[in-house]
Amino acid sequence: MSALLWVTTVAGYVIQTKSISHIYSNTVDQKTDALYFLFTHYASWILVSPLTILYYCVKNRSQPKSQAIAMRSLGTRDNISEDVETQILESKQSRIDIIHLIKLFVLAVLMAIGGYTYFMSLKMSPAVDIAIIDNTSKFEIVSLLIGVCGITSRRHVLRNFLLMTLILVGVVIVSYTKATCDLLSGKLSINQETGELTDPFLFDRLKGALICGLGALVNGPIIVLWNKWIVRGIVEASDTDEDEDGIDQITNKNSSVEKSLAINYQISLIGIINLLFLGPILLFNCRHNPPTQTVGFKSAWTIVSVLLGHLPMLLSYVHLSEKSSPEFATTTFIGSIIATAIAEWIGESTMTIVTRWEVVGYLIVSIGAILLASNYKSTKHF
Amino acid sequence: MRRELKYLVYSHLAIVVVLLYLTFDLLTLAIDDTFQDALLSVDLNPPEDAPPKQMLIPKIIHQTYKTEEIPEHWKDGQQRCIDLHPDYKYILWTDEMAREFIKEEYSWFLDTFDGYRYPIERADALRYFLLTHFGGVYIDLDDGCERKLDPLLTVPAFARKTSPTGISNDVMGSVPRHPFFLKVINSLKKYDRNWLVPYITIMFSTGPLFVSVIWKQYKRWGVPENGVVRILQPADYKKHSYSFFSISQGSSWHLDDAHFIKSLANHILACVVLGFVVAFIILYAEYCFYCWLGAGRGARKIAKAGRRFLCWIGVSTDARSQASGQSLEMSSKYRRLRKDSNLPVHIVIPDLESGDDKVTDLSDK
Repeated sequence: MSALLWVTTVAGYVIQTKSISHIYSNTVDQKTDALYFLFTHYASWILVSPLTILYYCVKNRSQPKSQAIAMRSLGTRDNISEDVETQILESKQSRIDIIHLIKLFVLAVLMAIGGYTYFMSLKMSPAVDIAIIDNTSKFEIVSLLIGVCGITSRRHVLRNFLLMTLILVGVVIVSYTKATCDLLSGKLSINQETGELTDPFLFDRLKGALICGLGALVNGPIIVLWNKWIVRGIVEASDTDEDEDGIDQITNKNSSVEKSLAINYQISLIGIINLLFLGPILLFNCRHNPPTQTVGFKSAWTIVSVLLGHLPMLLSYVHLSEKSSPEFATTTFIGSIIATAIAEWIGESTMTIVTRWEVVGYLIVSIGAILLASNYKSTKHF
Repeated sequence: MRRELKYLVYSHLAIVVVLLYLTFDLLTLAIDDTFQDALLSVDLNPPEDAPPKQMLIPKIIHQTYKTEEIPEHWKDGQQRCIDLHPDYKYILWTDEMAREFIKEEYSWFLDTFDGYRYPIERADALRYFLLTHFGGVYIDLDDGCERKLDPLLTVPAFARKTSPTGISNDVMGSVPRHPFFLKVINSLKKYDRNWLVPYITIMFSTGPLFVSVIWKQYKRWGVPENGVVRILQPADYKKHSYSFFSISQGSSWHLDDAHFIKSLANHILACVVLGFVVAFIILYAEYCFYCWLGAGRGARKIAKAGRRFLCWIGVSTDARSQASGQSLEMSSKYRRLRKDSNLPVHIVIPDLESGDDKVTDLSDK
């Protein structure tokens, strides 16, 4: 199951990145495009909860039971008691709900920042470049923060650190020796006559890499807060229910379904918040820069990116973190770098130049990632 | 989160804030706003029937070289500048003239001027003083003139845009005592630092990077009236039929480090990735160290090593160590006593028949 989720996460990232990059390279650049992509991708999170319920209904073919589980996980009560004690409890509950909504809003804003920088940088740099810097940055900050904030085990820290360093050395080798030229990659751009730089995209590439790398750093706090605020609460609630109900196989299965539903419900809530606050921003921006140029083309690829890339990636990453461990899920970032490069090599084989050192770099990254993943698997503590 | 970890996080945030403060001017260069003050085609190529504009910048051309013996490959460019501008005053400043000028007019700067590590820094600094003092146009010797400079003299000051961002100092013009160049000469002392790498030292102490940073600072809070610095765009600078200049072999001060740094532009992604990787390695190494300390053994080892070090440098003596050893022994004895107190009470049963005075016999006998 973990392997399937891992592969889905990586494949989702590749589809999303290549689709958006394809849109940028085939349409006239618009200022609001990044905002438009942010809105379409992040507002689509609303679909997560209904799709999950639909999935379980179809899977179990017992709608009433699944619906009951779903409703229970969404916090809907079957009967409403009217005594005073219940009213006090409910008023406390509403206060907790407001705090919870604020937490979700914080998460939504952080995610929007990370998403916006990612979409913006994709129009300045080639897809593989963005995949490299985006995933390197995410891998580093998430690995660091989940360790520092005590979300992961502190066993074998040094060994894992050495493996991470090995992977990062591989990434540096790849990024230094990367030789593929495209419109944005800016290779061979020194003016031989004057020795000056004539590359018009040099600064764009620098800006793209910096914006993407720095913007991706918000993923560290996001994952820490998500685990502390959302996942921990759901797991604790689920454990309490298990204690009350008694542990048997059916309860365990129901509990797992409930956990999944509850997590996906939270994702949908964030989607609603994204819709509510990104929508007006997009509308405000569109007054001067309409993003509707070549609507058909953009929409088609955006749908591909959202449905085949973004949503599967999001869901599999979240559930991989929950089912396996958050540190194991960080290896998907490394997988995404390798997979994006392979996708480019397969998809644009005539335009891709692979140097010997680039291959060496990818091999180092792959070996390091496999060793790190097996380490994380063996020290799973959740 | 533990308290010490919080301190660690706060200290790093403080370091980031300080770094941001120190590099703020450089970071602002990321926003390339050289187009805002661009010299437009209508300024540089006015229609023939347009009324002539007043020329603000004096008709003086300044060039610099160490002696009057100019290398052969620059002579054509220099001659073209002289030939195209018969109505301009032409001055070639040699090292000797330059020092004399600074000594007489700007003696407060002479120490800094003499103290520069590289001759090109003196040449850079000199051009700012010349423009501030006399006004006119400064042109590097490797920039040959291609057309008359008159259209450039209609603005109070100009410089040329450089790649990828900011302005360069190889072609500049200004009226005397222009506020921008006054700011430049007043900033020279502050920026005179050794950055170890020659290219960076030159660029950031007197060169294009220095001028660009000062230009950003100058523009930050609004420029004074008539104080704008207009920017000559790359196409107007060279390589077009309407360009003012052409480039001959130059950049004589560029050493291997300059070529290496320029070659990094071809690996810009690797530079950014390397920056992230180095930062991560430092931070994660600190985290590993923190975990090692938290494991207990690390802290004890460090404390032991610290005590040994204190003994070694004489701050702490062996006697103290012995004393501390004794106190340790005592405390262990004390602990043993406390421990012994938990043993079963030893009950003393008095022998009543022995007639002990301390014991009262309450029996009925």
